[in-house]
Amino acid sequence: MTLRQEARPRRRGLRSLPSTLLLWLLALGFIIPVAWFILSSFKPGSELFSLPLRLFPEDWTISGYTTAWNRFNFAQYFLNTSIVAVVTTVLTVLVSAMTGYAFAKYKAWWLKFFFICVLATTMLPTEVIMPSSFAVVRDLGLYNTLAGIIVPSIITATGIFMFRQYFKTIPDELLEAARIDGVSEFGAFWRIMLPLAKPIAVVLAIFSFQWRWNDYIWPLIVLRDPDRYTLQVALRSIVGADNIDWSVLLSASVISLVPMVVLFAIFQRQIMNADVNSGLKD
Amino acid sequence: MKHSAKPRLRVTLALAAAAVTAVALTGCGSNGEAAQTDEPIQFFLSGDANQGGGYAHMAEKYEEETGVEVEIVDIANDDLATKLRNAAQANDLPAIARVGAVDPVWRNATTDLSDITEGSEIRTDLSDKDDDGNVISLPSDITAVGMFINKTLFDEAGVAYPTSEDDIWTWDEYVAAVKEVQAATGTTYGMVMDKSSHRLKALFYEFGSDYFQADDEGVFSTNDNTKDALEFFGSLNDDSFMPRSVWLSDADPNALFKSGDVVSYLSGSWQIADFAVNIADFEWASVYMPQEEERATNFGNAASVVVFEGPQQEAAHDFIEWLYEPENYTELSETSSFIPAIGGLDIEYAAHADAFDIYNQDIAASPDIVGEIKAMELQYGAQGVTTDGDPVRDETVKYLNGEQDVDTTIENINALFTDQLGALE
Amino acid sequence: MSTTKTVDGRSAETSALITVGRRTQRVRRPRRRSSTTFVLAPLTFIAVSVVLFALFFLWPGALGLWYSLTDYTGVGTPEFIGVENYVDLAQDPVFYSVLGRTFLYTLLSVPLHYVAALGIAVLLTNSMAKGKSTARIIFFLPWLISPIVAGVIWKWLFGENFGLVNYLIETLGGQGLRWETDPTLALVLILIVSTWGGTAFNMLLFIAAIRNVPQSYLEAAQLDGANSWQRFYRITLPLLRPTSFMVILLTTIGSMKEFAMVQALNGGGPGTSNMFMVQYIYRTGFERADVGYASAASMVLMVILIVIAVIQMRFDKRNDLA
Repeated sequence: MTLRQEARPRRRGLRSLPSTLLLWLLALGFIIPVAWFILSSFKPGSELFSLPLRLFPEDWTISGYTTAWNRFNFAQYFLNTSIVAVVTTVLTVLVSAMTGYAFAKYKAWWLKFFFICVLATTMLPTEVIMPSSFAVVRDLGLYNTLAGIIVPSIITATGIFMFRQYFKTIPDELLEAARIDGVSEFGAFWRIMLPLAKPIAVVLAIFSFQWRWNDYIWPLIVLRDPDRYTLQVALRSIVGADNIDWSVLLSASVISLVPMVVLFAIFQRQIMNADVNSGLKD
Repeated sequence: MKHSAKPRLRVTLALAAAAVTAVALTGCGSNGEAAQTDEPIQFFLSGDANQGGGYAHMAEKYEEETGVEVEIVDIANDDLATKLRNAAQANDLPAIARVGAVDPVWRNATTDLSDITEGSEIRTDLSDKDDDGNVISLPSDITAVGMFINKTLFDEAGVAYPTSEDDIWTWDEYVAAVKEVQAATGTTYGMVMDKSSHRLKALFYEFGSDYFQADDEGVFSTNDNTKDALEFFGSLNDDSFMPRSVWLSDADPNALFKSGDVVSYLSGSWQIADFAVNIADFEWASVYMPQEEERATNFGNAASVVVFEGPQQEAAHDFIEWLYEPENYTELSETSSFIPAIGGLDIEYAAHADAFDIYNQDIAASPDIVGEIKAMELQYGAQGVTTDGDPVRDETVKYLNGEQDVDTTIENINALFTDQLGALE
Repeated sequence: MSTTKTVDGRSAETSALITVGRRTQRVRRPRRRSSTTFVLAPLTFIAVSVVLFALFFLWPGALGLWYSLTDYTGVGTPEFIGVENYVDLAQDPVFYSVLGRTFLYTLLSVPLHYVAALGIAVLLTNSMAKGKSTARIIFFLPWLISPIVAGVIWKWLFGENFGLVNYLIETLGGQGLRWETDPTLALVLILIVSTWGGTAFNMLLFIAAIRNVPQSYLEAAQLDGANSWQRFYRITLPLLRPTSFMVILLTTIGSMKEFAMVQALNGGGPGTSNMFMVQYIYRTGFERADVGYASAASMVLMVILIVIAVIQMRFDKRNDLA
């Protein structure tokens, strides 16, 4: 630590230039489309397509936003989507952690087999198994309920995989030491392993929240009553049969993005400041 | 460096318990029960808000007059068919729906609307009928394919365009006029057309095509004029008159026209309401469709209104009956700028009435083939076969991209139709 | 310090092990104690997953398999037709060209996504660049945007006829590029957009893993005179192997399944030159109401993906440090 500290003040200015430059060049490339998108939501419908194209609106307006807000019951959709997202995320993280842990720390042929099964779930595109999935949801009596969206979304191969890889990087010595100390398998998991996995848990939570927030396939299949709709379903309804009301679509999309950005801004500190060397140093 | 385990465990357990409770609660709701009679009547449709909100307005008026609440549920166009199909399979259909086509899956769950059509001027030739001859759907409104031009550009170039039925231009005359405007004003493109067989049909009919019809064995074929029409269309798509990106890569023709960089746009009547609001940079106008062998446009009902069986059947029926009374239907058409599906009505359009006149004239002048093909499609629907995709469009796209020649294209289209539709019973 | 490794073996251990003196036993005997302890625990851990898996993948998957052996059209009752769908599939030249195109796209996109995500993750964690927190949010934003809206945004930016990029090129005196009607350029555009949208996901995984690299290793290396590139290449990268494997596998599978974004961007165009597998399944199966055929194609896709996954897992096994 001390070595690093000494090196910094002297060389920082010069050393950081190339990487700062590179970082910000990339960031610029990434943000221009987003900036365009957001700025366009403030343009009136007639300005969106007129040539020559401009980045900034000539005539700043929030008419798209007011129309979108009035047309859609955003409060209800936010609530529905939030319930689904929060509940699913909590359950997803727990289930993925347990399953990933089992894959990483135990050996059995049936574990390996089930791992391949879990991977296989990513290989059937959801769009394609939609008719069969609907039959299942209906037969379970989950049609038109929020539970019908939550329950199928709990299992995620990506989440399980993430935890598996993460737990694999944690040396087995830790687990062995716990066993020697007489800790039960569950205790080892709850008290030692799971806390260590906090960074990856936070990452998965963010992913899961985002997936549920933007999910449209399950709500499409399962929901029928408009008061249960989630955000994405409402957004899609702006796309009409023969024309799209772009200013409303853009504004509504921006509105639906805001919670996710706020959440990420808050939780990204969690990842970066997570216990980096928790228990891994000798 | 161990975190103290107990609080963490408690928190996790508490969260899990809360989650399970939440799931249980949300699971117990009114799930799968059909709507009760005291609940609002649900009307599933798509795109009402985008088209002036006519149905929402009429629902409000109905509630004022009768106190019965009709809930308009506006769904994404791509999702409407799926939602209804799933609802049918879960025995949870809404009371009313406005659909693009009657789906064989729930066809048998619709109710008879003959008493509404009897003695009225509703265009029942555009209705679905079941095997017993009962009317099971009402046309919601008529839409027709039509041509829009950038009037500012035409005026700037000093080129004339037909303004009365006497001097309707042929396709060659039209192309020449547009090219003149293109050259004089330095506009990038002359024409754009929506990527859809619906618009292409107008071109086919004008060239005297019989479109694609089946013989008694269910084998589809067409006449030579179709080949002429296709080749002509291909020649237009040369990236200087028409941009290839629209038909080949889903570029947005609507946006292109609005940008002012295209002289004309072959689309339809539903754009009028959109253009009235969203085109401010130049003046646009509706013009007569060019003719060739025939003068024609492709028209038909934009959608069909159906009433489903169920506990709210009667209330729903009453609403639809009220809606199709001439006075109310007129108000609906005026709010949403519809071309009416009821004859003999005098609609006072808020704006661009002259555009609607042109459409009505083009519709009236169209040959019988238009109605015949429409009837054929309805009959296939009655048999329970439809084409979910658009073979004419997809094969034409391959032809335009140089993937196959025109004869193969027509062959493929015939083969696909034969395969999917078969013979008419 | 004794380094004991987990041994993949079975042994007839008894619970007497616990009472005997600890350290010596640990060094001498293989890890496994009584096998029942190690069956109940993992089984309970995966129990919920197994149930959910059975309900929401096995059941619909089996239904899909059944459909693939019938002529089901989505309505009515399916009739068993054996492997006819598979035979038709094997004889369809379009299927092979679509498969080839999908493979090409995957082969190009995986290294691109990997390098982009890893590079940015490194820039955000280990480098001395300034303004990292803001940059992090910027990189994350594209991932929040739904594929439909993303497709539209990029269509506007790179539109052949009135896109911003071509407009700038032409203002600078060049000739606008055919982003939409040239198959290769269209593919390049798809690659750009998918990298833009998918980087955040992989980047976060890498960041979490990089932060997990013990500082002590890196400091020791620095003391030994290693420069930052050597530190990265020799220490960080090998320790990132599990994450790398996961990123590569998930990206491969994701690329093979790409659909929504391409559909929104150019509809698989121009024409059908950039149609990928899932769009092919959707088009031939669902749009033509041939659910049986679509199910057969999905089964084939799944088998291909399983093969790819198994191959990649073999690589991971050989390099597994643990």
